[in-house]
Amino acid sequence: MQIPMADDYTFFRHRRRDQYVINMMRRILLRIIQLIFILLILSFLVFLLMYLAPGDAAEKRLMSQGVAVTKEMLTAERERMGLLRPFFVRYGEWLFGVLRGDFGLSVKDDLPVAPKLLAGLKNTTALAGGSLLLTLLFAFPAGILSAVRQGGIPDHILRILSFAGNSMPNFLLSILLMYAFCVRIRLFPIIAEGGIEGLVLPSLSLAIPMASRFIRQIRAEILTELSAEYVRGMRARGVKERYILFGNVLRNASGHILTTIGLQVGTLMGGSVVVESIFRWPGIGKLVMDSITARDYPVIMGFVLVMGTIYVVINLLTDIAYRVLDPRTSTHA
Amino acid sequence: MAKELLKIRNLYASYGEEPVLLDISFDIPEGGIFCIVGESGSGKSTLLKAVLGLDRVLVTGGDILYEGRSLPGMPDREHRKLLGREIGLIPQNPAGSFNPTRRLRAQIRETVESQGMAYSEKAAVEAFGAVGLTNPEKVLSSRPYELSGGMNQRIAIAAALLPEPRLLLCDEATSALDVVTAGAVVDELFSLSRSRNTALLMVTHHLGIAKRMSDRIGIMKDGQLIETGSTEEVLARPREEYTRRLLAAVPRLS
Repeated sequence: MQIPMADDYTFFRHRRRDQYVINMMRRILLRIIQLIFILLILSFLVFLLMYLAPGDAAEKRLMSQGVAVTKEMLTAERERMGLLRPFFVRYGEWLFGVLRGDFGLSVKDDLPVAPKLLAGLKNTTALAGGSLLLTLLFAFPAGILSAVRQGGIPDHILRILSFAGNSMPNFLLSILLMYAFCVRIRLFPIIAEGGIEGLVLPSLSLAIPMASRFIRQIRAEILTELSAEYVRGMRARGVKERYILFGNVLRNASGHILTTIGLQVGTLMGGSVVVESIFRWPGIGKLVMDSITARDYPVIMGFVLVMGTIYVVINLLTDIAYRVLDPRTSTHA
Repeated sequence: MAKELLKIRNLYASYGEEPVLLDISFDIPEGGIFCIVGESGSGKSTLLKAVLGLDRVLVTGGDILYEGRSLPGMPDREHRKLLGREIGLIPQNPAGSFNPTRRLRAQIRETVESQGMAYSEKAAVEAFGAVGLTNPEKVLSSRPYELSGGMNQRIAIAAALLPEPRLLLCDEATSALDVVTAGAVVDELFSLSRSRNTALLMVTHHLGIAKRMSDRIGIMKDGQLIETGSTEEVLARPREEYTRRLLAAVPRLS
């Protein structure tokens, strides 16, 4: 008997491929517009906060030059630094400068802020990259192993290790590593500004807690995915476990994992202040710590704005990657 | 009489603490079609799970013999090797048996290559065509969530048939299809079984399907096979009151 054909009309309940791409583009464009607004608001808030913050940059600056400050000198210095003009004028000027890549001059030493930020950013990126690489190299195999051999010996060992790594504060870990590898075994210099060998210990200090969290998450994501109905279906079809794990389970789980990585990168860029200070790594975290003590407002403002931009852009990229990995999230636009 | 392919001997099985199957016995010869009819919750699906060995169905007594080898007795790894090429499954929820985010071509390829066979686009297109899918190339390029339930069911049937298993388990294989298509698919399965000498173990709550294709049927109630026999015999002269009630309740499938 002839089997009736499923009619072409009900064929694709959703859209075709070109429609999918258009949807995607539209979403990205929308996100970019959103992003611009977010950054505008952020820049305003940053400027406002610095405006309202106690302390007087002019006074601080004169004091740092070691002269006795008179009222006249203070007024003249304020005038020279442009602190007496109205708030919105100053905000506007600063914003237009920023858009041209000019973040103003550092209050501390009159040098432009942008190159300082750039140099710090470069070092911090190297540190973040190094620690992320270490994290992924360790966390992926470990997470997969403990999920696949759930309840086995490696799973238990990794559970304890990741618990310990997760509960250890960064600064303690940094000091322990320093003691072990710089004092006991003299493998690395205590202070190595720049240089690859100076990158290893701070990267490890950041990577160990992060990897500990990732192992738990990767394990959980894989276990959730392994209990999905399609895994049972594939097993019933006799599909090899290797295909199920690497071609399907890991692929489906990677969307969520990637989101966490994206968030982590943001945290790493801004949050490695403590580790950078301990190892005297000339990153942006150390730069901003020094600037906060010196009330170097232009540097702080630049820092917040740059970090905000990085955070938002990484978020956008993560979002796009997530959609590509799981096309279901794109069709219901 | 052909050689017995699957023998189930006094099988007791439980799901967790709860006993689900009680003293089940039947045989399926090579190329034979056995249909188990029963209400939801009677233990039909558990029986299939026990044969597949994938879920945590605990065999507490009796045995399941495939070509004389005990399935519950063999190591998991060996049992898994039988799936696909020897024992196939058309699952109850076909859409759920594929990874929703990947194109079917990749998934069919994995299914075929896992059996040590080479993937050929032509064979896949033919297999899809054989179960009544129009435009098989397009279907291969789409993802399961983009297709209707009926189409997914056909794909699941095609995927189960591609490795040419000797025993095919069908768990309500036509539940997502409309009556006309269901009838056609049942006919298709029947002719495939005859032409390839594939044994079928079907589980359904639909007596009409059983009547249409099976050699023998078993009526299942509360985990027991209360009546077993050749299809004609059971349907013409049901011994049990329950079977008679089931028969009376069936809408006729012409």
